[in-house]
Amino acid sequence: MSNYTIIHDALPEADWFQNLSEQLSSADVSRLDDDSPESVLEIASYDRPDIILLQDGTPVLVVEKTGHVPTGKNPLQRVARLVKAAEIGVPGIFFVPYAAKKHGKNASKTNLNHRAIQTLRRIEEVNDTPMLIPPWPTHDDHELIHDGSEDELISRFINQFLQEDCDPNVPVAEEIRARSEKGAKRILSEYAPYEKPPKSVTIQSTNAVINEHSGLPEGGSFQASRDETVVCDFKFQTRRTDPYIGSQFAYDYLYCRTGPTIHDRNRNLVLNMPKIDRETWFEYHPYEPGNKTALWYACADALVLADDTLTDFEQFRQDNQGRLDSYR
Amino acid sequence: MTSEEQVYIWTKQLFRADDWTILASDPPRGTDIPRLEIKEPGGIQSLTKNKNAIINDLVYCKNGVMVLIECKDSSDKITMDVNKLNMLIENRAWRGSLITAMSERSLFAREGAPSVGAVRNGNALVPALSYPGKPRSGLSRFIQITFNQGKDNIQIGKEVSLPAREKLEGIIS
Repeated sequence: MSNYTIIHDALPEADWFQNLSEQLSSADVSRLDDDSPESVLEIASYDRPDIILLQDGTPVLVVEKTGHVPTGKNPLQRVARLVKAAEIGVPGIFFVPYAAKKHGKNASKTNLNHRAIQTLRRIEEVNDTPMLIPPWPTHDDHELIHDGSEDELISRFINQFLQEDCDPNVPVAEEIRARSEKGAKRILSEYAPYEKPPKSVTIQSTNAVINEHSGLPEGGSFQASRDETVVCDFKFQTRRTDPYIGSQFAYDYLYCRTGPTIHDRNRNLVLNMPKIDRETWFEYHPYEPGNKTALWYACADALVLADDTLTDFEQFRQDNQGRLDSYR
Repeated sequence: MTSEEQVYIWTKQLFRADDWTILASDPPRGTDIPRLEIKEPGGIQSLTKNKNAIINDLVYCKNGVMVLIECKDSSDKITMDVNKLNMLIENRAWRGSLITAMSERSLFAREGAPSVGAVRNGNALVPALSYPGKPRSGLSRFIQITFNQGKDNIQIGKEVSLPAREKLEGIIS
């Protein structure tokens, strides 16, 4: 009999997850913190997923859940919470509505950003690790179902997964993929531009980018030999990190990545933040291990600021996997 | 010390075990089902999120009774919640806002939900406080759910209506 441990970022999510399967009823429940096992801290080193399931002390599944209306970059930020798990071979689940009703004065149906689905498919493909996206079902008026029946599909998956000694390749996984595919097609049929990068992300010739931004390609992982460069325009000017800091991982996998490390790219990844100068940048977004701002230095090849270009981040990266120095 | 998060979970487990329908939630941490934001009647939409709105921690219904629950990690902190729940239940305009919020989320169609009329006149609404320690005196309109080392104690105030009292028997037993 296996021993399961549910590591959580918040107790309501652990309570929800534990109730998905009788097999988890005697699982230990523990908060993600400094005392968590090293393998858990590794998974959480980019961002904290909602649930990390351990079998006999080894991570076997990571789950991210959201009932928020899945617009814009928000779901991309949440996708980033699954990236590290995939990179070390731990399967992931993103439980999210594919459409939900936005409330308020301009109430309307809002679709999941299709790029979140695309990103997880790419993460799965690149890392050869299953990433499932079961839809949180809704009523006809796009209100989320929350009478317990919404968990039926994911609950069946968890049960089969546990019965098969934590093998993610169970029959219900294919059912989830089929529903996911159907949902993804519907979203694209309603908004075709999702197939292309968003307006804030452009794919340019690397020469053009070098000509535009002085300081490239001095040092670091930016490579002039790559024909193309992906430029993400992030026009914030504050201490704000979300959702930009997480979405860089999504844009990396969508438009740059060819392999499991940040060095496996066929395009450079550049974050352009023209509204912040160097002095403000290092005041607001310093490299501090364990602080979320450290992630600015973990993924991109270059950060272009109003008055400077930062390129050499290797000093901040522990190894090719992009692992940060410590966790807090 | 028992955290508000733990009180929230224990309270959920109580209502779940007695098959109450959850209508809304606003956990202290993490994701649960969507919350119910009851906007201040006639209020100017604040630029500050949630300002002037009432968002209960948990909202449950069963057979036409709706329980509005506030969770706290200490009985010393419940005064504001008492005032908030009293205002919501006593004031017709606030009850109107509650109807609007529930309608926007199609909550009147949920199993066991009260009728619009029973929310409008307040008969369906029962305020509840959930916290560690012992029940406090002077809260005769409230249900008090208290926890002592994880063991629950439910005290139903004298002014809680008979129909609501009957629905709550399953939780007490």
